[in-house]
Amino acid sequence: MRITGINPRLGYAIWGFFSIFLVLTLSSQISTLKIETNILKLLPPTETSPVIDRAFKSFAEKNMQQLVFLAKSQDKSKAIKLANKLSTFLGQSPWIGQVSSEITTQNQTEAAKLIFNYRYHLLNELDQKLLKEKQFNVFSEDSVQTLFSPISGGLTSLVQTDPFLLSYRFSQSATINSSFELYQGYLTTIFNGEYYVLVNAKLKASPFDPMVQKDIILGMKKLERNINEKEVESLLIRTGALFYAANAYDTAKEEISTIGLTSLVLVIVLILFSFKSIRPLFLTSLALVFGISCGFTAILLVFEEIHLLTLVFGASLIGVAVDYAFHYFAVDNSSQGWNRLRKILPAISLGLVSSVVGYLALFSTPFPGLQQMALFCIVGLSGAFITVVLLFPIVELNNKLSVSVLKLCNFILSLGSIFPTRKLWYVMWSLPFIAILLSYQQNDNKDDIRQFQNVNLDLKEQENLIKDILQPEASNQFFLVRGKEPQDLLVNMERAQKPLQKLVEEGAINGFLNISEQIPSIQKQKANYRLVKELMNSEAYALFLQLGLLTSDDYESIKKDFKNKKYSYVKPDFWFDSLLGGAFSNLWLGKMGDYYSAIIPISGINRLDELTDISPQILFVDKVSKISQVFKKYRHHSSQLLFVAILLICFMLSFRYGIRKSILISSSPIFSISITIVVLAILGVPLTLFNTLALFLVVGIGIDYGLFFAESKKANAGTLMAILLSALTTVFSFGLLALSDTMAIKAFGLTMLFGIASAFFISPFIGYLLLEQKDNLNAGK
Amino acid sequence: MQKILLSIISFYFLMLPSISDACDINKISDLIANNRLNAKFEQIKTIEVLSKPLRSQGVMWMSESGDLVWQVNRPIKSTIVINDQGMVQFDRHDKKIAKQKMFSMDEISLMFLNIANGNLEELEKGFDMTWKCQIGTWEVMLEPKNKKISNFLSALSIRGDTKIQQFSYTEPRGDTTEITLTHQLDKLSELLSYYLK
Repeated sequence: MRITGINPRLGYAIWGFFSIFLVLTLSSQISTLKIETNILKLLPPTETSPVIDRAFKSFAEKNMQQLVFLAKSQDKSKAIKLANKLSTFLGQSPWIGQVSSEITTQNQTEAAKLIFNYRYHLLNELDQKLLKEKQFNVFSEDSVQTLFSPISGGLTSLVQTDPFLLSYRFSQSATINSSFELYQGYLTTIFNGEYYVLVNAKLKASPFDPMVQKDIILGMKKLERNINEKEVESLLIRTGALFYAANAYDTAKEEISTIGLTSLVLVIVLILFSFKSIRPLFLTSLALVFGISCGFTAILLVFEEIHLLTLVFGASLIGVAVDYAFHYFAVDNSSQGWNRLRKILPAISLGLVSSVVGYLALFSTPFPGLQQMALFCIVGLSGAFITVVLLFPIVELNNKLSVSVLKLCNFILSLGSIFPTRKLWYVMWSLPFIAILLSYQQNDNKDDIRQFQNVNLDLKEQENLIKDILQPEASNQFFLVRGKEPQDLLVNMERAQKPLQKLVEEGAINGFLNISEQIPSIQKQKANYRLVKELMNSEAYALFLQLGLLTSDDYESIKKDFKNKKYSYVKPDFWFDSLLGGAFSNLWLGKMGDYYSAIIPISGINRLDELTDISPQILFVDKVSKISQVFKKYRHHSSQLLFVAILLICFMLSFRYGIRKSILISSSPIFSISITIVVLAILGVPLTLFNTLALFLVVGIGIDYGLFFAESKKANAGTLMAILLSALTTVFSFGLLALSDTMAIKAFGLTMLFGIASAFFISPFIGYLLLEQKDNLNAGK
Repeated sequence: MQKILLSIISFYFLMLPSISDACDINKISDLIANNRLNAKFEQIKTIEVLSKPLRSQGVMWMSESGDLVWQVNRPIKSTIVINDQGMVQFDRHDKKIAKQKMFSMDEISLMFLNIANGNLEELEKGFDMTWKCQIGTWEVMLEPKNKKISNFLSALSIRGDTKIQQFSYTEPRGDTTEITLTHQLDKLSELLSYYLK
């Protein structure tokens, strides 16, 4: 490749123009910058039907607004007091839209009135069955039994308007959770000898907004401090997307500052130690700042927001971006400006191309988060490359290479001639086969999305306790029911009832929550009315007359009221606006596209394989499996792509270096990724999509190392020094990601750590073989 | 005549401390606790909207382990068992009824349990309590302190001698319930211990 060079002033002007553009763009966009922490935003569409995808998103967003608390104490009254304090705090928060802890008499009266008004049209399943079997006396006898009981309470007041207690009977089935009971207006339960009081809150702001998280969590900490000072045994248990998001945000923020800062400090020390001059440090920093700004600007221009994970990966770009600068500084000082650049330009250009090929593989995945990272890295690396090419040649360098580092590099290089390198090279071809064998022996659970999330153990424990006590329905595995009109939807939901009950009877699931049991379709309400009519006309009322609970006139007036209310149907909009229906409104998704949709959540899935679509309008949505399938599919897909990428790079390099040398260069990343897979398998780390994606970068960087040797005329300690520095900085940045608490990032970091380390140790041997190849060719000439 | 009157008044004042001593709430509490319930009862519920009161009969028994079994036999059989863990109901076929969610049900059942086992100290937490004694008999009157209880009960009174003889309560709507006990010697334990299983 012949480099003619460009006018240094022109290069500087182009770089300056780019810088001004960056400053202007960043300053105009930075005010609208939104940092996204929602893990769902990283995910690709997993459903073939956009309606299902929208329904899931809508349901997930509604669920994410929920905060669930349990006030725990050995003393029931203390638990209630704590729940009361928490409710007061939440009620005062500007971010909370609704708090429900205490069910006041007024609330209950309101709910009871609603059911009472529609009592002739609302029947629970058991009562429908009793009426169909014409067991009318059961109704009158139950009523009398309840009315004469010492604990009949206010039910006696119903006797003259609702003698069969239809409203009371229905209200008993319209309760949310059977393990909880009402005590002093609070939903309380006993679990393992301790009292728990339930407090629900609904956010009116995004749970991913750091301001909202900070306000609520600080307020709760203050509340908890007060509790702990006064009532040691009382405790607040919580769960909700807000707490996980806040934890993820704090962890990521901490990781950016600790991993990014540690990486930066180590790189600075390394540069100063290796080049013994401040100019390389200054120029490298400039290349980094320029590169990162380019990456950041590209994200702001292409995407609406930047994901937190992009920032974490972005902090690691430092490790790769410094490579070009290092190779520039590692050239001896006899060459300056364009002459210096000319010596490394082919290698760093091919290095950039191979890295871009690696990152393009990331970009080709349908994961918006990974696409962001890839774009950030491609543009960021190109920015660093442009700085090296356009700006570095105009600065005169007088740096000296560290003698001790050079000695070390010379020693490492000499190992190539000491060992039976060629034989070793042949033996190492067994590694890819061992790696393939080991990767196929791993279990299948490695693609489960839940293992990639950053799980705070304390939060997880609290969530598990709440799950044990509340037995909630799963939020990402449910039945989605559709209908052209709200009434069609309710009819379809009623059709789902029997198949779902069958699944419960067969033990495939433990339960489900079908809101059509509480708000029946008009069709069902008409049928209910007909059943009640039979009850009204039966002899069952005679018992009331006999006991003096009713007079004949009373009964006639009840029958008249029954007749008048024939067409008074309860409809969904009205129901979900009420206090009673409002508790389930998250399950009613409303109109989405051409259809109205609602969710039937299920609890306790015992046999997932038995859950399938019930009909074209009653679909089983399994987001966990769908996402895990996507992960699995792309893991397989990316593994194949990795093989193709190596072949492609090898083919591309063969034009410049010939077949033998290009195979030698390509063997370095093949061995590196094989060693990485073997080490990860030995350590018991499952090979996931995130490990596979990191292997693309190992290929890109591993090829770089071979390229620099291929471009050297002799076994040059300077080249190895640049490779050593490059490997160390990559390990410092990417390798440090292995310390992350987020599994996805940790997997990435571990792979990079072993991949780059092995690529570095393999490089002098490959370098030796490349130079040996060159010598043979020269001798042949 | 004046002398006789003065001597009666003097006697009355002389007697005051001893009456007061006898009318010790702790003693009343002990009396109830030491004479575990084993009685027939008649309940008369007077409901504002009904012209005739609702009459029912049954039995009441306090087990050694502290469970109160309250069984209505007429007009329709129903049984409730109350203890400090809560309340269980059985229908006319002695089939356990799924826990019903009725406002203040726990408060009402706990109140009955405290009355039956003489735990007046516990009752005092939720009620303003006054009491009076006449020769051989006593009456404890309770008025709810907080709104939660006053939502379902406006006044409660317990009358007795060595045992509880009657208790009555008034609901905010004006409905009243009067329960009169007839203590008996034959043990109800054999009959009612079935519900404790």
